[in-house]
Amino acid sequence: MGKYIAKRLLSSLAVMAIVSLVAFAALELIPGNAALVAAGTEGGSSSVASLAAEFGLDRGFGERLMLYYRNILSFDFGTSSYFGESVATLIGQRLGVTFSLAFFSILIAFLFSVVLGTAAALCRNKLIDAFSRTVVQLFSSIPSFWLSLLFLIVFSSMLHVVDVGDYVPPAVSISGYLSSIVLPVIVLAISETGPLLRLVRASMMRVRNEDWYRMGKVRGIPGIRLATAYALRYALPGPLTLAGSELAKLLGGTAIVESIFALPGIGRLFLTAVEMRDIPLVGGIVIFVSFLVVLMNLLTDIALFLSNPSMRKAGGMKL
Amino acid sequence: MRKYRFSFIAGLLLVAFAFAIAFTSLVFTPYDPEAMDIHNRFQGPSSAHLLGTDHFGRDILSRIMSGSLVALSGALLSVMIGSLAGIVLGIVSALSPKWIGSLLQRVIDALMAFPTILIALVLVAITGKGLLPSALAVALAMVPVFSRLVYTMMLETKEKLYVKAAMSYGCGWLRMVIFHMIPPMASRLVTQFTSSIGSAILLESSLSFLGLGIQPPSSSLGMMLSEARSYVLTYPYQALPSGIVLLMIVLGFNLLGDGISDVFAGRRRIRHV
Repeated sequence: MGKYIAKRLLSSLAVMAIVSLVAFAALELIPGNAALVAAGTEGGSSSVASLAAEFGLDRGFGERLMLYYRNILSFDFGTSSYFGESVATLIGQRLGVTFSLAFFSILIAFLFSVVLGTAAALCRNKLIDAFSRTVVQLFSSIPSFWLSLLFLIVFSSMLHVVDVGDYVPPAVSISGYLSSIVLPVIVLAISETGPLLRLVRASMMRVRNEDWYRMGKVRGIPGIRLATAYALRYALPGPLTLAGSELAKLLGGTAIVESIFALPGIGRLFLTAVEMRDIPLVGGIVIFVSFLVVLMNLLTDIALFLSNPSMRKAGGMKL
Repeated sequence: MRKYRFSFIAGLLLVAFAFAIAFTSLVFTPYDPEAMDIHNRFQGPSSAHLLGTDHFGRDILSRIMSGSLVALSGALLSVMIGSLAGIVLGIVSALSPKWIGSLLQRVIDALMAFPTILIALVLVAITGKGLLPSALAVALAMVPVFSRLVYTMMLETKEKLYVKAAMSYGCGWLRMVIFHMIPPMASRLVTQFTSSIGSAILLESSLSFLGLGIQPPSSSLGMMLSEARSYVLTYPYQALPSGIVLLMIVLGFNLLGDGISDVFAGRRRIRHV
């Protein structure tokens, strides 16, 4: 077991190293000089030079790469040239919003997919199956930014159910918090349901052909019990892995929804960073999100490994 | 069996409709899609303007027609570049020594686990805004899925008896790949290609919506929605026509991809019987 986790950890570290290297190369390629941006219109050439020295722009390529890795390892992502604050602080302030959006939308999408996907695959009811196929196709085709606009029109402007524009932290008021994130959470949940539902249905279809499942039916075990006690345990690892990696993905992929619903999250921060050519901030967010993605995938893999006796015996999934 | 044919036919119809309006825009649009008419702005549907006019009084139908052409050609271009790069990468990593192959696939995994919009944004930050940069960003986002697909299928076919037989007859590797390994993959690749066009259109329109794609005054569906966004509370109708057309096009390609894969699966089943 220790061997599997060690192997998995090592490969995560390798991925992290590659991703950070690619991010460094990408940042080197972004045109525009961070020192010039930070100095602003009033900065003279001396302030530009001192800022350049601060950012390490006056050093050679190899030296900058070393500095970059030393900073990452000490969790120092530098200072944003646009906001003038430390990148880590900026990300920290906005993490809660994005995490709430990602977590609740994946939770809703996952529960919905498991219920509908299981019913579609195991009930042998053509209507339910056709419905779930329609949901998969429709939900994966709706542009999330368009859906957000429709939600704004219907719920905010026509029905006046939800106020948009003020994010309320849960510490201030729980109901205010929920009503400020409910619309974006539903939009994100809808676009996440497509792939999840498809996968749940496909894994459940495989269950139908298993000998133990047919045996259970023959023995007269009620369908609900068969589904919840046996089929789910067998079919869920795939969808759970997907949900884990989608959750990690969403932590960096909510930019559009955040900007439409005016929520102060990481995605909107990233949009601002790109727009303002704030290179330290762009780099910091990219590294941070890839760290979350790798960590999330590592955790789901280890959790699956621990929960599956046959995998534990075989020494883990093939890497 | 009937519902399979339904998604295939519905997809085909929607895609044909998309191509029809897109190509008609080359020879005919009711109005000049960029001609402004300030006196007639924010009109609803009427006999003069079938789908109404936007905030500059431009004819929405004409803009949708030329915007569909941008969306379709951009998506086709991106998926062609992305799939070609992905296929080559998949073949290379399947045929090269094992450690190089798995290292390449590790990088692909990392790319795949990354939010596509983030990758596209970084790329646009490097190259600047515009139709070509955003198409390249979308193409890059399409590479991982093709490479992964080809890699796993190649590893399977490499072990097949007929491949080993061809190898023992002294078949060169290029000939092997082109005549023995790609044909059995073709059906899966066609399916993936079709549904990738749907996701490419979605991604491209998201980039346009953020103002990073094609630049004004040209129209694209995503940009039209981004303009409609500013007036969404006073003139909600503005968000409807272009959004519905966008949904129809993406849905068409997704249904068609699904339908094609069912058709191939059905054929395989028959052959096995």
